Amino acid sequence: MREKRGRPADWLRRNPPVAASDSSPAVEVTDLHFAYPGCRDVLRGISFSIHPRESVAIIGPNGAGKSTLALHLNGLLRGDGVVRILGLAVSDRTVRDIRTRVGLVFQDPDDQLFLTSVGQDVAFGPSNMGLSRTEIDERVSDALAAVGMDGSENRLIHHLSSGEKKRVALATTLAMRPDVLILDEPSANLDPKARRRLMQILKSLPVTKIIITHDLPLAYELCPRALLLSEGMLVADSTTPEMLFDQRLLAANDLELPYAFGPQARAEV
Amino acid sequence: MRREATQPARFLPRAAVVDSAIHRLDPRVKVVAILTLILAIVSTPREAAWAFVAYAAILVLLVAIARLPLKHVFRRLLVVLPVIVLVAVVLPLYGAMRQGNPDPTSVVAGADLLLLWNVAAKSLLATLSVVLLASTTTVPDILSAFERLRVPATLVLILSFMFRYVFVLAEEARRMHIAIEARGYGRHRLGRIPALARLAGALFLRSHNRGERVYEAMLSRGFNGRIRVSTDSKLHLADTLFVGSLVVVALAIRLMATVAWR
Repeated sequence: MREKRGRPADWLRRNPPVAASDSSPAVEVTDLHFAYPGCRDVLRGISFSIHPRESVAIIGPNGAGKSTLALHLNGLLRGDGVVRILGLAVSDRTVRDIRTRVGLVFQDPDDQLFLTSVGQDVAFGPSNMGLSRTEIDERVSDALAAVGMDGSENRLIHHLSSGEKKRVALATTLAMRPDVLILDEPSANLDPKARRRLMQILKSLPVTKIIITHDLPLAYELCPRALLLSEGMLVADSTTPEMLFDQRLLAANDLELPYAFGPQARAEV
Repeated sequence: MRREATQPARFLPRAAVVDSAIHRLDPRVKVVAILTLILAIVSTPREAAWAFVAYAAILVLLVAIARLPLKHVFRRLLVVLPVIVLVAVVLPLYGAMRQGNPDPTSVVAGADLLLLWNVAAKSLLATLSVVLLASTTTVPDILSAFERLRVPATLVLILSFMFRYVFVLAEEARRMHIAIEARGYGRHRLGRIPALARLAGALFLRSHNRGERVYEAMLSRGFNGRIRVSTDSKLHLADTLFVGSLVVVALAIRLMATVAWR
């Protein structure tokens, strides 16, 4: 694969994210409840707070409410409770502003990339922000450079490989220069090389990151802190190593480390 | 992964594979010129055979300038063959019916042959025009041309979604079909029908769900009901000359065909 041309995230260094007020947390969720119509409660009283530039993994079994929580963080869903982004409470009035501050990368890039060419799709977010043509173009090429896809503006989306689609999906949110980046299962359907590539890119981005994942080694490597969600409740909030080596906690929540990283494998060596 | 990436290529017009003066023209100019040409072709009276020869000459010249592979052009022209064959088969029956003559073979009159000629010439030439456009312009470029030519935005967006997701859907359908076959379905043709019906239903539901997810993703990037896919570009002298001369020549042929026929 072609190496990217030197400037991994220059755009961020040139334009450091500006917080609404420096002291406020990047994300603050207070007693969040939510139920889909006609279903049992999906979120049952979740509270946590994340500092600017922190990287936090959200782990938990299927159906724990992880993706539903993510949809609350940029106002796509509104439950009972308060969600604040950089001190700004999510409401009808603030939701447009909040969506430019919170970049959400969906699990399936085919959901996120809906226009025909790479350049058009990456330009979609910035053009919704009402920027000028030259600024949009600059943001598109910067965002593509940040994910190692520079010069692919004219490629068609359906000609990209899964790994490339994933990186372009990330670029579509980076082009909006968000303060908070939320990724839903970033390593799903990626081969080891594409996964490694994506992790390196994520590491290089100096923004607040929330990574929802079943890929516990990825959580371990990228996020110093982890939240464990189960049945709509926050079960644990600790450092990632602490959580991942607490076998009893993981087992109680239907999670496990890959065999090769667990104590059995170490005993075999 | 690799196959997913390359497979849709066979659906694609091989645009931008070769480069030529025609490829480099502004897409708007090509859309307008080709549309004018098609309108002129289909509205020309069928008796003016020389006019169709003239249209054909223009198109062949353009195909030559665009350096399109002949095999590619011919293969794409084959789409109209069923239509022409259908007309050819139905014509004698039609003639028989009109004249109340029970023997269909005896009545292929000159007027009927003229009808066949009309359908064949017009459909072939119109298709050739479209092939020329589609083979020298990428789909995103054509869409952006539509947008800048003030085609309603919703329509452009629907076309754009269709082009983007037809491959995703085809791939999904293929996978589901394989899954059905893998479980021993399809020994008898009739036995397949219920499974195929369910496949179609499942595909519809999946598309509906995907639509919702796509919309969520659009909203989270600040979608406000408007999408502009086009990029700004100015028309060059070559563009103006191309569209000007093609429109003038096409209209001139069309006009002369009417006058001469009268």
